[in-house]
Amino acid sequence: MSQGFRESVSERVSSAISDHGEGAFGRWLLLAPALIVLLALLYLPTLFILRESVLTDAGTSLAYYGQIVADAYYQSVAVRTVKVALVVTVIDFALGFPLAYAAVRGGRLLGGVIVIATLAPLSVDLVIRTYGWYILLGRGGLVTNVLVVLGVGSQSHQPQLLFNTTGIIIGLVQVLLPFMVFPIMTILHTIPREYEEAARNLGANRFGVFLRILLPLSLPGIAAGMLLVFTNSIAAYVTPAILGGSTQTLATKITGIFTTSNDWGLGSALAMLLVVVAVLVIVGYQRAMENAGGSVGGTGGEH
Amino acid sequence: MSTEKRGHVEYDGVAKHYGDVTAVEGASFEVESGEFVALLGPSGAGKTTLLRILAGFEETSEGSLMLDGHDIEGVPTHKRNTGMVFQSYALFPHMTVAENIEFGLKRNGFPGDELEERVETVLEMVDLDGYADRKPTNLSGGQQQRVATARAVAIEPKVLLMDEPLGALDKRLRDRLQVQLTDLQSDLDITTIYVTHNQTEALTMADRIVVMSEGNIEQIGTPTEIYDEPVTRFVAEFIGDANFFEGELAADGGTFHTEGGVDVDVEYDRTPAGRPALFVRPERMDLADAGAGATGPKRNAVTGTVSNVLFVGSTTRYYVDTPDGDVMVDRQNERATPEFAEGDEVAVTWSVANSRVVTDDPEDAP
Repeated sequence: MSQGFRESVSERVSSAISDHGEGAFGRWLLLAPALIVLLALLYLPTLFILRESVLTDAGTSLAYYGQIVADAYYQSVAVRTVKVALVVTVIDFALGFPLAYAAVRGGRLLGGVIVIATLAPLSVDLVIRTYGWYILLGRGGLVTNVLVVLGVGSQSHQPQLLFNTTGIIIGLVQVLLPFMVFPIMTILHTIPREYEEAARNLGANRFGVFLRILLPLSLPGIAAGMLLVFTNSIAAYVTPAILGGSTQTLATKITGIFTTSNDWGLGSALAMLLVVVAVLVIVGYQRAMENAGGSVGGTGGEH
Repeated sequence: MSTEKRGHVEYDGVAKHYGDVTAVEGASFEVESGEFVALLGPSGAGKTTLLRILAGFEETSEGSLMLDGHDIEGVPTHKRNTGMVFQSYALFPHMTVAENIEFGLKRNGFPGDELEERVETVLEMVDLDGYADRKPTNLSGGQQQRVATARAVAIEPKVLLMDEPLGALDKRLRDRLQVQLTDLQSDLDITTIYVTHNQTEALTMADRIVVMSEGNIEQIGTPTEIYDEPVTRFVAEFIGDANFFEGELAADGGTFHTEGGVDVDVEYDRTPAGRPALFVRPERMDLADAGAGATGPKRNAVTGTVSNVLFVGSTTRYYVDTPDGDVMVDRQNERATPEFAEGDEVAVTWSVANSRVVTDDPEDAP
């Protein structure tokens, strides 16, 4: 019975797709499952948060937003969040581009090692990985001890790498590095090695080759990587919560407001701020890509 | 810019190994200033490796490489002042034609206010004036090739390096560009090393040809030397069509006894290191009636039966079945009807001067 029902449904769907696949209806049909999931799990909750953020005792108003804007503390948290995200993005680019380049150009063995080394940490749960950093960066941890040996700080005044923005940045840089490496690797694969050789032959040194050939040609991949790292970074919760201590970012602050002070209105307003920043960055990225003439746009387009 | 002679290249025992694989084995030759040298050979012969070593893309494993009297081993790629033209052209897709050319000019000390004029000049040289603002993707293959050439010569390199530059083009375009390139090369008087697997290209364009096979240099010589006086069987076979007779060379070097039992007069004044074979080009042979016998200058002869007649146009090719196997004979078509037909008993004749002994060892060069 149910077998026959399933078959008839699947038949109808596939015939609908083959009939309409080329048209607008067919496209929407193919998108429908994903859209339904996003609608139910992302857009509706977001709308709910939006409603919470503007519903006050005095009716609909922007009072919570006003409260945030007027409060220097929230401003400092917002600024810190964006600053951390920017620094993480820049560091991940500085680390990720050479890694991606070495993986693509450095031969099969090196490439494989880099890909595995970049991917492997993703198989370890985020919380566990972050506690790993907690141990490494804490007082008497490996990193602090090495730094002391190298002459940074002393045994009694160890460098403070935990419970501050430094800790958050170190953690996020590591967690988000793959999101920078893989889009750049993908695009570097499309750039023939001969472009670099031609540029060197025409008198460009390695930096010149990077600046004038590799950078412009890999811009779509770099932008995609930066977008992924930045958006993930401003929204990150686990890493700042564990490594930041009392140093708050928007995500940890929002959680705190919801769970401890139970102020849903204020928390929702802060959450909406985060959404607005992310949407602005994504829209900016897509504009830039359209202007550059590239038809990229896919990556991160549906946040 | 300067009038002094430049662009003298000297490979001295240059070898290149990749792990256990040997790409080039002890290559030694010189390229004179302003000379056009073709590196000719089948793929895997090591020609491109020699070019890439000079450009600085690869390091030598052994030997030394001199450019204008200086060992360039330690000189980084971007300071070698060589102009490379890639088979794929490697034009920068995000830059216009002008920007591609300026890229090299800016990095080779051309003053900013002369860039535009220089770009125009080199584009005129390759008949592409007016194309400065196009993107490479909007150009045809032949136009891209010419832009790549213009970009390379624009910086006035000491040596122009061309790696199968016409390899991706169809035959008609290739023929036309061969003429253009040789004209440009002699106008600019620029030392040129040209890698190709196309023997016609090498014969028509180059002053001298370096024939390579499996990492070794087989022979170095002018196109006519390479064609008429090949040292090795490989060279004879690779360049043009060839008839080979197996057999023994007499100790005095005056007679070659073929396996088919024919004694052929030859003139060979050395003791060969490799295994000798007799080699004659098809167009250097003639046909006569079998009974006529061979006398006079064309006194070498083998007899056989015409097995196939191919009308080629300006020539006719005869395949003659002889005791020494099939022999190809090319005859000019001076008359409308062929004098010989399939099944005719004929004598294949040729002169002593066209009887060459080749071996399988490049060391047997005179």
